[in-house]
Amino acid sequence: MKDRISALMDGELGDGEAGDSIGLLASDAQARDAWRTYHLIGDAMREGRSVVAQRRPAANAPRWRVALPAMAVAAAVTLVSWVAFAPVQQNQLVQPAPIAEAKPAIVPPPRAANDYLLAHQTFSPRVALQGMTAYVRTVSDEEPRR
Amino acid sequence: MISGRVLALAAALGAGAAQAQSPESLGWLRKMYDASQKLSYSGTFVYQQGARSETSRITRYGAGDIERLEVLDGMPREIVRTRDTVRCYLPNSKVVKVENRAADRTFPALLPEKVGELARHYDISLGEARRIAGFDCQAILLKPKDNLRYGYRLYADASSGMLLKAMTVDASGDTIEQFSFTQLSIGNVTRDMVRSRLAAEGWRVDKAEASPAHLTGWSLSAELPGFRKIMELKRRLGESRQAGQVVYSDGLAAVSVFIEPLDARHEAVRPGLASVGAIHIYTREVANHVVTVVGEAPAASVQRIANAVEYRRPQ
Repeated sequence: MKDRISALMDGELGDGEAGDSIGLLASDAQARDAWRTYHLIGDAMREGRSVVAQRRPAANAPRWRVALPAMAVAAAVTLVSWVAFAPVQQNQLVQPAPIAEAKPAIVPPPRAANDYLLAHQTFSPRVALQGMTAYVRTVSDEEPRR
Repeated sequence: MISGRVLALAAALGAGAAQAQSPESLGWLRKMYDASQKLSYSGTFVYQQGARSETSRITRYGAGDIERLEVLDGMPREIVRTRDTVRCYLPNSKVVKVENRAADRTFPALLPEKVGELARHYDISLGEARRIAGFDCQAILLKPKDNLRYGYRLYADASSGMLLKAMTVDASGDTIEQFSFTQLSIGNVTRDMVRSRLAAEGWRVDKAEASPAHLTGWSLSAELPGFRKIMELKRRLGESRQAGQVVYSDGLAAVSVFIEPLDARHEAVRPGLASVGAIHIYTREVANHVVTVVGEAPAASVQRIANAVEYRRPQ
């Protein structure tokens, strides 16, 4: 079974065999595990470092179990596109774990906050999107800070 | 052979799925960029942040690429932006702050063709249609793919692409900042309407004199995912303080790192985190310098960049 999954990934199967293997993927959890594992191995080899460990949580996400039975009734082409796309999607699911920062002291804005805001705003892409309205932060609050 | 075709088809469909969120909504973003660069308009908008709200008037003279923003509540403050400069008029302190824009001419993140890159960090989709200030608008939603940036809900006029309303949304879905036009008329703007109304004679002029430069020895020990360095310059801040500024951006949100020698400071440094609307400001000391990181990003992102700033004496 694993040989066929591997061959399917490498594009070595004929039409009928490929269809059968896709059917197997839709119905057999072990086949899906193999498919997933081979993709992880492939990715790890291509990237030259072990991504397997990082990706495992995403690969085990329940969406696989929920999504696949639904896909089993879909047309074969749709299924192929979905499973072929899955590793990419897994990739996107891997988000950098937020690094916990020490809780900072909360301070009032620096007296020169307007200087920083004006200097910053000049280079913010946001201004290109919404025009100068973004600058209103800069001129706000002049009085209370004095 | 046939299976090869099946797989090629699968790959193509897979790639299609990866971009499925985009073409139409990206088109809207481009349309908004274009409108902000080309249109002439005059209108009144409200800026809301927490319990505070403030009304301003904005006028854009498209032919000369000049914009004037005037705060209507409280002290009449003004900003006039031309192709070359941004002038901020502060009557309370009788100061004009001048930022030169020469340095951002080649600013990579501002180009409309870069809009597609946003899809790497945000899920971009179309929202509901809604009427705002008399204009039929289309909502465009930018949902961040991680917790390092805010989300945005933008409303653009369906016919001109003009941005009528912009909301900044945090991870829990709360609006932390909002700009919304209450009145807008497109066209019919003359050169005279974008001249400053404030007589700035005898006012102090603070010029930034920013120019691209390499800040030797300074770097980030770790960059924030998705944020690339887009600008590095030397400049003046306020009346005369020399400072370095490095800007990082994901294409929409930006974070600036300011580096100033400690001994040039008049006021004591207060390390910690401050916020102004959706903007966070984090201050700390590094190698006898004050590092001030300013960005429209969640506090943790601003703090992470600030804590990654390091100085290594050049060999």
